[in-house]
Amino acid sequence: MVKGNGFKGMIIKIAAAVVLVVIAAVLFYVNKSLMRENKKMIKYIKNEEAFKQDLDNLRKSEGLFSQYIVRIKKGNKADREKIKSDYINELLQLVETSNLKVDSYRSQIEEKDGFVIFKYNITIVGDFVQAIRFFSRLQKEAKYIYIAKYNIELYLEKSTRMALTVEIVGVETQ
Amino acid sequence: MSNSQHPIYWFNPVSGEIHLSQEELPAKKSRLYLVINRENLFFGAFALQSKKRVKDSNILNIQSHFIPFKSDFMNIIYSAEKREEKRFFSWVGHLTSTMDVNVESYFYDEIPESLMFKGDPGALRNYRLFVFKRVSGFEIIYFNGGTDDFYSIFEKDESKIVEKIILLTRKFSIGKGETVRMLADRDISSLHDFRRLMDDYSFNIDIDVIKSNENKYFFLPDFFPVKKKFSNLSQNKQMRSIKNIIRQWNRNLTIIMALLLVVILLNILGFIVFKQDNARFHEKFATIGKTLSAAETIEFNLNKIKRKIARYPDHLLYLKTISEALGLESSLIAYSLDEGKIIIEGYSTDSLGILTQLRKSNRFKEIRFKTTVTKNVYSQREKFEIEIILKEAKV
Repeated sequence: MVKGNGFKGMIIKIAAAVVLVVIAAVLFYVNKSLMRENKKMIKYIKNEEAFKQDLDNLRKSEGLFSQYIVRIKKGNKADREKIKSDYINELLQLVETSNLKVDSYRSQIEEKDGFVIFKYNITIVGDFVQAIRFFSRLQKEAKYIYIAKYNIELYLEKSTRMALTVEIVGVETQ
Repeated sequence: MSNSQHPIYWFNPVSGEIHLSQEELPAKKSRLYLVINRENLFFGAFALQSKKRVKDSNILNIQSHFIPFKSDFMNIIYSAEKREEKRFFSWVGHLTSTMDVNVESYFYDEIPESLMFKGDPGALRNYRLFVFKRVSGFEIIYFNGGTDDFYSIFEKDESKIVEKIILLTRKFSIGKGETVRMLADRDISSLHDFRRLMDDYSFNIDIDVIKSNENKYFFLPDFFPVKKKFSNLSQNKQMRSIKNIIRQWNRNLTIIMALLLVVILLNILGFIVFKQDNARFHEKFATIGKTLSAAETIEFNLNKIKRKIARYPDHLLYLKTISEALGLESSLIAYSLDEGKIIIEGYSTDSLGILTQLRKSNRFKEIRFKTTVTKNVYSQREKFEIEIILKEAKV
């Protein structure tokens, strides 16, 4: 009825076509991923200058932010205590030059979120206006000293007592 | 059967008139399809090839040769359509051999199926004799099933039917003791000669009478190679159809495979190009990668620092906003900033005004009196304590 060769030939051709379809599909998939990678790289290469510019900007920002944060070398506890002591001296100097009087102070070192935080609780007595000027000086001259909290109260007739908590955020470097 | 595209001749054998349904006559060397439409027994269609122009007299000649088969009327339909079937025409051919027209084909396939396949196909083969009443007489047919031979006689006089039957049985030499089955549309056993026939001859005749209200149709007998040919043709057609499908699919598959090969080749080409490109790009991309990596590290550290710094309140800004709200008439006796909130304590002539003024600022989340506002009888100013909830710092 039906010639064997024709029918067999058709079956063989179908099988071969299926195999070819599979090969084509695999190659297509591989090429697709290669093309994606290729496009990605072309895109990156085209934007190379922009990336360099971004990096420069970031470095500038890094430099800018370095004044908001102190860098301390990795060391032992004694080294940190020394740094803490240096900063309190600097802080007391700032207070005194602002016509304010330090009544008492307490300091401690904390480590949080990968930062080393030098914490100072200081009680200051002086004129309210001077106290505000002191805040302003801190913001201008010592950007790395942050006022975490404070409480100002009237003290005697024309004076104020201020309980101040300041913090210095440090990052350890090699 | 009717075909409105071609002229149709209606021939009435009783009156001998030929009516043309359309004005146009058949063209020269045309084919005529003679359709004999017969009640109850046969439907046949014959294609006649004309050597020259078919004249009305030719049609009459054909008709006269078909008298025994003639029905009340017959249709002659002109058609240019070619038919290939030729097997049947030997027996018709001898009828038409003296004429200028030859039977070319027998187009059984144009017989309505509803008529061809009605009834039992085997039933007709059991009969040897047929007697049918026609308008102008009787038609007596003898089929010799074994040799596909037949003979037919037309008899106008009913009383002579028996004689004709005897004539036919002698011609075909029916043996003694044989029983011949007859199909008739009237009961001829009532004829007075029939008894004599049965007595004088040693064979028997069994008569089956078709009732007029049965409207019975039969298959054509075997020597009409209708069913067989039709079946064979159908099988051939099927075979040809399957072969054609396979051949066509083989062709299609070859094309598909060729296309697939082209697709694969293109893919391979693409693969080589992409690979080369990627290898070239990788070198350049390495330096970009370093840039990106450095930028990513810096950005990560910066974001971390920004987040950390943002947690510290911008206390000078808050102080400025609060002092603006207080105005010159008010004075502070305490001011504290702690844990996301500011508490201010002081004296004012309009504590509610301070609260309203502070609420206008978008730097604070919530502002409310912490304690009840009090007023000393010795002073015009009232003491207030306001709690300010700060907004969460955004990075």
